[in-house]
Amino acid sequence: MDVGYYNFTFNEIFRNMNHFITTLSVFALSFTALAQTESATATADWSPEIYQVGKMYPGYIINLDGDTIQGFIKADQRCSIAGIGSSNQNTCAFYVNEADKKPAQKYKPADLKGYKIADKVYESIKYSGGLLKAPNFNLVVQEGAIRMYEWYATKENYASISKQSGETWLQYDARRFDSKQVVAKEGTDPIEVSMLGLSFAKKMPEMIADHKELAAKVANKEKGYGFLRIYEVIDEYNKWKANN
Amino acid sequence: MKSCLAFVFAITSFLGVAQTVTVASTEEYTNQLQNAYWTRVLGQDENGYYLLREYGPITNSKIVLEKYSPALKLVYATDIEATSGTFNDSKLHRLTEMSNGSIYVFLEGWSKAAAQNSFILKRVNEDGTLDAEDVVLETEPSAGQMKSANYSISFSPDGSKLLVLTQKPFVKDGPEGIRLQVFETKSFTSIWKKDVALANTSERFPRNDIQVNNEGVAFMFKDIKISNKEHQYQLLTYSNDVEKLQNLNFNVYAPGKNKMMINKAGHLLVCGTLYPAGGRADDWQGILFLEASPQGEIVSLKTDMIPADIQAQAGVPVKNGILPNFAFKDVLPKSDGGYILLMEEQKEFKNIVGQTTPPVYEYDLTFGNALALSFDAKGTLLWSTSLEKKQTEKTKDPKLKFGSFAYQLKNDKLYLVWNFTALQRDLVSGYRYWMDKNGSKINIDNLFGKEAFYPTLLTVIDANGRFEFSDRTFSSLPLDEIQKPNAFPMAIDPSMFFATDKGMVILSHMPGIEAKRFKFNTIGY
Repeated sequence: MDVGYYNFTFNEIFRNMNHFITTLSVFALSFTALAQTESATATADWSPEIYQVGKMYPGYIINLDGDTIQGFIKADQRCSIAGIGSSNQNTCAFYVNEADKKPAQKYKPADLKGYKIADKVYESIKYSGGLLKAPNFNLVVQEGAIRMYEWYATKENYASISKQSGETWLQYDARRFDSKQVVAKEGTDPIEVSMLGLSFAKKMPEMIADHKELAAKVANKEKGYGFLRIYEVIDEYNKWKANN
Repeated sequence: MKSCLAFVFAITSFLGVAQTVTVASTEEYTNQLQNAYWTRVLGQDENGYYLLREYGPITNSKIVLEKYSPALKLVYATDIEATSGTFNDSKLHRLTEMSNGSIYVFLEGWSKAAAQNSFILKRVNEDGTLDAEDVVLETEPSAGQMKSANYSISFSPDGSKLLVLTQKPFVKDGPEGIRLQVFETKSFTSIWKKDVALANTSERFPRNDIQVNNEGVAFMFKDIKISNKEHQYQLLTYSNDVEKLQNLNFNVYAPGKNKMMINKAGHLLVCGTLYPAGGRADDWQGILFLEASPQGEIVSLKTDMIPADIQAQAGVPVKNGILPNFAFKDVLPKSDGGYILLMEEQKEFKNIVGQTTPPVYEYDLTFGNALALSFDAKGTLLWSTSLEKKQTEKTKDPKLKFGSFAYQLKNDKLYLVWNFTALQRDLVSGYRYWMDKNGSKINIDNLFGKEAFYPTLLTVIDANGRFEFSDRTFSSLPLDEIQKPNAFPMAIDPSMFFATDKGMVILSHMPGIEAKRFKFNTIGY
């Protein structure tokens, strides 16, 4: 009897263990797949031929009245090193002429709706990489009714990382920077993509509630409308919204 | 008083010219297919512009058809399968063509079970998808894929007819067999077809070039190789009621690169170059002009040696009347029925870079002087003009280049758009410059902007062969706004342009194998 009891318990533990490992594996795989999808979705190119810190690039600013003013913007770091100093995410140095020595104005995220430098568009949204809901310039990586942004922070050992021979800029940057993807619909607070994953079937339908059919598919966890397909879901919604 | 009037006239003329040329550019787009270079301008219609990108190894090539809207924004990029099906029932992409506003994909399909080889047409729908329906144009018995017939096509100038030439498989010591079939393009129904056993023996790689006129008369220019030095040339004309073969005598010459076209009267015109028989095709020695009627009669055949004054204009060492390394660019029809022949000095050298396997080459390209030769409808030379230039560049891929020129003949004026590559750099300040005709340094970084990878010039040659901007440096107008204000360094690509009613639309892109950003420029004149 005892043996049976212990056998039963052992089997139960073993079954539970199996279930746990399987769940863990699926969870890990899911996030690996999402991470891969995220990197595939990230469109910002920071290689030196596209972006050089210190170089003056044509661009524009959009002031709080919504007026667009063309000019030039000096390229800064994509993010502050260890959170200290100026970067594209907290400052925009605007020049009227390319040859100007001093900026006409230095703007903070609270001063502008956004700006564009070269091919990179920044918008001021209430996201700062953490819990603080202060406005910061976030890089737009996908436009639409639901916009996707990228937020950068340096990794702990940033200063000691050097580019290896044969390494692409994308690979090198992946070792130096942490990037977070953020989505926001106009009029709502931004939310990290990884946070959406915790209750995707609940939070996403709220965001896309006006597209009832799509919202229902996500809420009902239909195949192809889960968290792993978040980019496709947003894309489908944006296309629908553009035509409605 | 006279001088005042002359001054006013000169000023107004200058302003008139200055106001006629406009430059506008799109935003700089991200190149989503950085490993896929643009290889062909397919055409344009009122709905937009069409480009082809072809890349990858020949065994697994990829083809992408791109459509840009009239505002030059990407509408679609369609993958066209280069190969499909299974080994025993496969389809291979042969070519993509545009005619009269429609785009067609031509495939060659082989079926082992049916032991036959077919030439198939697929229409491209307005949204860029391929139509599900196959139109089988030709079918030939074929025991093996490597022993199948070959096919080539020609659309009539108005796009109403399609000629398909079927070159039947090689038969040792047998006669060369061909079939010519003309379709009307509304429904692709056959108008006529003829199976012909030619008098010459079959060749493994026959050289037959074809054209069809708007009435469905087919012309075939045939080159029969007897030995390296000795070739026999023929013109064959076929229609429902015509079957004519004419032997062609080019004297001591061999026909080089040329263009076959149909003129307004429905006659065949062949215009191009001649080189010494048995010599190098790039050794330009003569000018070919051939006109044939739809009845197959030779109306005119001229094989003139390049006149001495043109030899002198070319600006290269001439030996035995040969202009070495002169390449055929194009033949442009004029409003008076004549034409303009465009030639250019082109040289290419390649060197192995590094010690990798397979070897990596660096190509040293030179695009020298350009020559424009104007002829009347009978092939008589009227004038010739040489544009002096020396464009040199090094590239890892000879397809990726900024040399040569884009061109358009509009209202009998010839417009040439090209990059000035021979820039010098100031040793002290580091800015780029050229020397103007007065010997002054012109700061290119200031004039064109630092992001102009090369400065771009517009040369205009009028109907009498004179430069319109003869008073300017390089007899050309600097298009100094074309890369302003770019975020990324770019230059125009003279091989990717559309000639429109309003002027020219030309592609600019970043240098390097992976051109990460590109844009379109509209030059109005």
